[in-house]
Amino acid sequence: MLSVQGITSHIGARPVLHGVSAQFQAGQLTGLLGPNGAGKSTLLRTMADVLTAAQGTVLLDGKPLAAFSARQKAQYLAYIPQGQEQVPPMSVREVVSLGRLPYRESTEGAAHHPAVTEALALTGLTELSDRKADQLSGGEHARLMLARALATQAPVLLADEVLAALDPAHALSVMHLFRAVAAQGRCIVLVIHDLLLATRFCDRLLVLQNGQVQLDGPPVALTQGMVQHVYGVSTRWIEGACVPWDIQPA
Amino acid sequence: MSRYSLVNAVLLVGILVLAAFSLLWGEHSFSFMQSLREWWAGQPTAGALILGGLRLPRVLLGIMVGGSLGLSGAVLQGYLRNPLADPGLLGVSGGAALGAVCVFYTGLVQYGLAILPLGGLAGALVAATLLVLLVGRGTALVLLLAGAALSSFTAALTALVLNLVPSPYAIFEIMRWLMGSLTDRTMLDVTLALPGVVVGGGLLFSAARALDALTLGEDVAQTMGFQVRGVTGVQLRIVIGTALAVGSCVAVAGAIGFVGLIVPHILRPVVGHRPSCLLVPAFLGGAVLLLGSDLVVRGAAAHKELQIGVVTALIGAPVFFYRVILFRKQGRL
Repeated sequence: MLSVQGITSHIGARPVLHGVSAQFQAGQLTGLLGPNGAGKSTLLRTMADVLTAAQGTVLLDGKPLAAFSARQKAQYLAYIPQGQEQVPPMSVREVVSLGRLPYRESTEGAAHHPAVTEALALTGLTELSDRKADQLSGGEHARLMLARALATQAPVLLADEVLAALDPAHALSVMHLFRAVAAQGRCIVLVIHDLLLATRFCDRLLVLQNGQVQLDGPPVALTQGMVQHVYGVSTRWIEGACVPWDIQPA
Repeated sequence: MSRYSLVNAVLLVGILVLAAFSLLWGEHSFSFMQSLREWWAGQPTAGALILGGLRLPRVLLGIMVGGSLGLSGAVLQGYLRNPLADPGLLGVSGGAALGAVCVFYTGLVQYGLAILPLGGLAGALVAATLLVLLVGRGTALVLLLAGAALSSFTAALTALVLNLVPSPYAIFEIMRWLMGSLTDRTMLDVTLALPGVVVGGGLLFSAARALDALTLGEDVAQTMGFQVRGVTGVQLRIVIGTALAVGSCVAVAGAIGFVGLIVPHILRPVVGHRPSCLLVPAFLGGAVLLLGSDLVVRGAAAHKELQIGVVTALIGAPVFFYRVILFRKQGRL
């Protein structure tokens, strides 16, 4: 569905990605892992066509991104950026309806589109749909951004550290939600730092270090040695989930 | 009827009422329909001259100038995500004012009615070109900084020209013009401003959906299919749209402040904070504010001639004080 071939990227003069290749399938939840500065967000932004790679290609259904019009890409790829973008005091429903912008629907039509209502329900925001977006907590805001992306009904969802502001209950509910959305046949790529949630919920992990792929496989392939090498921490596996335990430089 | 449609309908009725009042109110009374027919037929009767030569251009310019200032203020505040953004911020108004002041200074103003607005238009276009070259593919912050630099530069040059003007009478004329006015404007001024207002306004309205997407940040807007920077980007459309619409208006009516700043602030609590929903009401609201201010100018003219820029500032500043207090109460400042 979505693949990258030989992506090499720079930010200024600093090389960030070195020939990264990977494939992301429909119906799969892929966790993009790696320490800070490994190039995860750069890879995600390149896949979202926000950044242009110095070398390499991003392919959608086998065709390069350049072969698609801006609107086609917008309907195919939904992107949730890192961090909390300050949203004007619009209602939650209004913000979620912005996800329908790639379809050029009327403002009223978009606000009451079934996809918007469904996205609000899936993210547990139906009760808050009339509340102003600037009055939400960090966790509610993260769910709002997710709902906005889901309202696009794009087959590919690219999410950058959406769990960062969430408490354990909300983080778990969002991961369950990602699983449910992936089960609908969508391809989800999620930049994630939480090893426990990544190994528990993701179908596949792509681990980057210094802009290169260290691992591309199922969560069970993430060995203790690999985590120690990439993150410099020791881990324990508890009931199929990898738990960071202590600092242990490689 | 939705609240959005209701607000637009009320503002439209406001424009029609104020325009009718402006056309019919004055020292000389005449039959409106008969004078309109005479003006249209080109007959030089007193009624036709007053209606078509004085009052109609004033009303049309009030709508065009007020609408353009309100619209560009709403677009710039949405794009820059800065409630203090105002059409004057980009330096294009300053360029237009400088162009017109140079026309006064060089004495070219005596060679025809069109020379002054054409000088203003030329100044606005030069400033807009400089702005586009300065900003290039830069971000909204670069646009803000380049606009501030250009504004300061044109203000400094205008002050320099004022310093060099030999006649106090010329300084008085220039200062009066700089404060803005719709008095004694003709259909020639309307004709000169109209293309810039139509094309510029069209470019600004075309940015509506992109402004909505930009509330989620530039990256998300781009992934939603809205190019922000570059030759086909919304930033360039906004800069050129503002330059054409506001530049044309300043060229014919002088620098009228506060309209672009306060109209979006007045309307946001009514129509909401979605940028695209503010554009049409901001155009209509700007027109209402300027037509109303012009009636105040005309009402006060019997005692002392006021400039319309003074009236808009006197109305605008208290509204702004009120918004500041409201923002503080809501904990948003």
